[in-house]
Amino acid sequence: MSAERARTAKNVLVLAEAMSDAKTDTCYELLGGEEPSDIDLLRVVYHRTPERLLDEWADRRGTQPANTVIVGVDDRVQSGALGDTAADSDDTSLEVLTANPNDLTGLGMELNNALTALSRTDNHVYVCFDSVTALLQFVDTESAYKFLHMFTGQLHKVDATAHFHMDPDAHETQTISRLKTTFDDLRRVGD
Amino acid sequence: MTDAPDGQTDELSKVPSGSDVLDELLAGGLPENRTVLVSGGPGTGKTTLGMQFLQRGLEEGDSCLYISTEQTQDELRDTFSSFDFDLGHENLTLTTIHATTGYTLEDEEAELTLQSLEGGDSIGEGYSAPFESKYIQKYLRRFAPVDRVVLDSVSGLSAMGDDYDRYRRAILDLIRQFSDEFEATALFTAEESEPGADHGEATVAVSDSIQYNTHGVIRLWRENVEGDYHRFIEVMKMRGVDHDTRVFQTEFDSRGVRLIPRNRTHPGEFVPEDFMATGITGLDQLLGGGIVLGGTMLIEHDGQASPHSILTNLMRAAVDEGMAITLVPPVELPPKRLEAIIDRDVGDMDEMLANDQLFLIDYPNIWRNTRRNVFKPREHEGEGAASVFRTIDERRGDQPLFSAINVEAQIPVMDNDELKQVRFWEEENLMRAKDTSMYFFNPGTMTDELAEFYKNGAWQVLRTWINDKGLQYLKLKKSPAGFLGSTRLVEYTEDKPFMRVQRPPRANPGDGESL
Repeated sequence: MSAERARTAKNVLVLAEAMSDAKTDTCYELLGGEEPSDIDLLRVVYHRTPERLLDEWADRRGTQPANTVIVGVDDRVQSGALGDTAADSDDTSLEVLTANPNDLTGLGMELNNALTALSRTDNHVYVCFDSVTALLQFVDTESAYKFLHMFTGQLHKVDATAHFHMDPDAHETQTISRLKTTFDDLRRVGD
Repeated sequence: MTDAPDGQTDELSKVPSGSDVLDELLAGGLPENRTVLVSGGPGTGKTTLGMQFLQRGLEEGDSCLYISTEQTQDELRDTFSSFDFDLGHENLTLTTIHATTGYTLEDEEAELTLQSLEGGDSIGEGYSAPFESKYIQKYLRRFAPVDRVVLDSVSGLSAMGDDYDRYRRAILDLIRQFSDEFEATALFTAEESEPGADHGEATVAVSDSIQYNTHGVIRLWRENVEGDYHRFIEVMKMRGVDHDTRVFQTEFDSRGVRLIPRNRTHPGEFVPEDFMATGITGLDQLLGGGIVLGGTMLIEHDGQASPHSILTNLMRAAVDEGMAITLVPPVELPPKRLEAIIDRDVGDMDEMLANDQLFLIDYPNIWRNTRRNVFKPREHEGEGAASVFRTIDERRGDQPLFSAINVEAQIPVMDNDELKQVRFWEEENLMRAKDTSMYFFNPGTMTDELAEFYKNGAWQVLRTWINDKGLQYLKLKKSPAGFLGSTRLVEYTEDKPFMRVQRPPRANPGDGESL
C-alpha cells in the first residue's frame, strides 16, 4: 500500500440534497483526480440506469475507468455486460450486477463478489454508494447500520476510497447520528 | 440446453475424465456441459476421481473449480498428498462451503449460515448469508465461468433442511447454474452409505434423490471378494451415450483412480481369421467375432431359453465354411421337427447325410435307422462312441469338423467318467486344427462336477436364460475376446437368422442392427 493510498483510503458520508448539482460535484470530487485508466470503479445505484451513469462519467471525465462494476439495486436492471458501450472495449471492462433492494444479504454478497473481482487488479478502487436514503426505504435503521458497518469494513480491507450519499432532509436527525458512526468522515454540502 | 435423444451419441461433445479406461467405457468421456453424479461409500474414490477430472482439465488448459463441503483446504491437501496432483495450479480454484451457525444481516438471532470451512464469512465482517440455495449460488457466482467443476459432495448441502423437495430443487438449481451460467462440465459426488451388504445394491438416500436430475450416474463401491475388500466402478446411467454396462475393479495409483483390467476384452492374440461368425450380428460382436475356430464353446441354458437358434446358425456357418457337421441332437427336439429346421436353416438333411457332410449320433435311439451316417451307439455293441467317431473321421475326409453336442443326450448311456474319457479321446485322436466343438446343456440336469468339467474345457461360455419377466438374455461368461461379462437381450425374428442379440455397448455400430 502506497503512502498516498493510505491517506486517501476512507469512507465518507456525503449529506446533500438528492437531485442537487452540489451532490454530483462532490461525488466526482471524491472519485478522485487520477487518470481513469489507473482506477477501478464500483457504483451502487438505486434509482438510475447504468447507461446514465456511463454517460455522466463520459461527460465529466471522458475516458472510462479501467474496470467498472455497476450494482443496480433494482429488479428491473438486467445483469450482464451492456452491449456496445465505450466502457466495454479492449482497454476497459464493464460489468453490471443486480440486487434485490429487499434482500440485504443478496446485496452484501453481490458487493463482496464485486470487490473480490476488482481486488484482483493493482488499480486503486473508488466506490460510490447512491444512496443510503434509498437503502432506508427498504430496510430499518438497525439493519442498514449492520450492512453499512459490514461494507465499510470490507472497503477498508481492500484499501478503497468510498463515499455514500444521503439526503439529510429525508431523515430524522437521530437516524443520521446512528449511521454516521460507521463512517470515517462526514461532508455536508449545499445549504 | 436440451439433451440429445438416445442414440444420437454424436451430438454430445465429450470431455476426458482423467481416466483413459473410464473414457473408453463412456465412448469418449463425460458429456460436455452436463452434470454427472459420482456416488459411493466412504473410501471408494469419489473425491480422488473428482480431483483427477480437474487435473486432466488443467492439462488441457481448462479452468477448474473444486468446491468441497466436507474438507478444509488443508485437509484436501493432506488427502491428495500421495497423488501427483498439482493443487497450486494457477487455473485451479479450491473453495469450501459449509453450513454453520452464524449471524446474518437480517436477524439478531444466530442461525444456520453459509461460510467457508476455514471460517470465512460469506458476506464479510462477521456476517454470513443464510444457508439457502440462492445464496450458495450467489456465492459461487464469483468463480464463474470455469470449464470444469467438482462439487464434493452434494450430501454436504443436505443441511439445507429436512425438506426433500427443497433440497432436490437446490441441487437442480446448482446443476443449471454450472451448465448455463458457468458453461462447465460438472461432477457431483454423493455420499452413499454402505449398509453392511457386500454387494452393489446399496440403498442411496442422498444420491437417490438427485440421480434423476443429473445427466449420468457413476457408482463406486467396495465389496468383499473371498475375504478381501475390492473397489468397483460401474456406469449406471449416461443419457445419450452408448456406455459400457459392465463392472470394473478400481485401484489407486499416483495419478488417481485406475480402472482395471484395462483391456478386459481384447487380449490381442486373437485375430478375426480365428473366428467363425455365427451370422447373428449382435452375438458375433458379443463374442468378439464369433466362435473360435479350433476351439470349444459351451452354451448353458436354463431349460426355458432355447440354444437352438445359435446351434442352427452355427451349423449353417459351418456348411458355408466347408466343414462337416457331427450332431448330437438336443433331446427335447423330436426328429421330424429337427429335420424340418435343418432343411430350412442349414441344408437338405438327407442329402447332407448321404454326402458325408452331416453325421448324426442318436444316443436316445429315436431316429429311423435307414440312413447312412445316423449312428446309434446304444443299440449296437460295436458302435461305442469311439468307433462311431472313428467312422465319422474316416468319412469326413479332408473336411474340418464342426461338432454340436447336446450333453444331456449322452447322459443316459454314459456315466461322468465315460463322458470325460470320450472327450479326451476325441481331442487326442480326432481333432484337427480347425475342428470346432460346441456343447450345450442345462446344468440343472447334471452334477455340478460334470458341468464344471465342460466349463473348464470350453474356450467360450455363453449362458442364456429367461427371467421372471419372460425376457431371454445371453451373457458371455468366458471368452478370449468380445464383451466378457456383458448381458444382452435376445429377440426372435421372422426372417433369417431368426434371432437378434442386442448389440453390446460401444461395439462398432456400423454393420449391426442394435435391436
